[in-house]
Amino acid sequence: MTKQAFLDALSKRLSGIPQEDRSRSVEYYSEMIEEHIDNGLAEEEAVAALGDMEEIVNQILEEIPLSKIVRERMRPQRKISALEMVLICVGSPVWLSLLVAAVAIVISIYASIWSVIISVFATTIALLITGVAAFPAALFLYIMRKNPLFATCMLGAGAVCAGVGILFLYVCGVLFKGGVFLGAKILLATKRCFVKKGVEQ
Amino acid sequence: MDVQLKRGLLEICVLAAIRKQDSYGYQIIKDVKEYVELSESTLYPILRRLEMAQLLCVNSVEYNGRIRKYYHITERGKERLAEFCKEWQELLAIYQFVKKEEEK
Repeated sequence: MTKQAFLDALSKRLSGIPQEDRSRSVEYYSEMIEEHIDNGLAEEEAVAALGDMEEIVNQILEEIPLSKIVRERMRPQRKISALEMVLICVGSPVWLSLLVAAVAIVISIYASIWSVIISVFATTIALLITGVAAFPAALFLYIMRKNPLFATCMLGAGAVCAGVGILFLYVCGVLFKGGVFLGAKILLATKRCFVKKGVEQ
Repeated sequence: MDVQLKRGLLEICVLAAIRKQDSYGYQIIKDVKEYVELSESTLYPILRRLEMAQLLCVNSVEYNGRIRKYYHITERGKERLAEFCKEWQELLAIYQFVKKEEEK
């Protein structure tokens, strides 16, 4: 790919973001390509050295806050005629409720994933508490109720709970990291969604 | 290595690369690459973040008929580097203690 073709493609992929951020990114990569060429690479090789276009776009998008992208998308790209204005207002029960529904779906899916994670946390805490509580309970049974058999049983059950609880602690850690990672991925996907819409206009 | 930790460390690397004198993107990558992997696409968000946090500032200079952006470290940037070195002095001391105990 030639330098100009690459820069044009990059600019197009970024047409959903504010002008300022777009030109800054394009200038940066233009400079990088020139530096590679000055250092002996051919134009095509210089472009190839930059890596995957999707990766480049992702890195740029991650730094721009979602609010800025949404605001840019909301700004009208061309003059809206009176008729279009009327249609938008009249149709708002349709598109507005669809938009709210879409946002609600994404949020509820993410929330349900987190509620599963929180239930695992709760289970872990319950297991650990049971494990600890088994000791005084067993002691009580042995001393007060003179029931050594039941007491030993209680101790055993408590130990099992504590053991499983400790294993679960590790699982909690993994799930938590996974949840946070997923959140970041969803945020990036949402940004790309908005930016892509901008391209189509 | 944890992604967030690596990002933070790369920011420090970039600051260190421009501490003694102003540098430009390509040169920064060349300098840092000797120690840690850094690509053009990874460097861009780092430079943006450092600029927004006012740890460095950008100057456009003409070079060979085109524009080259030079990055200059600010006082805050230098303070950040000093902070980092202090944190890691402590970390290094702890590490040396652990190694010593291990070898006993």
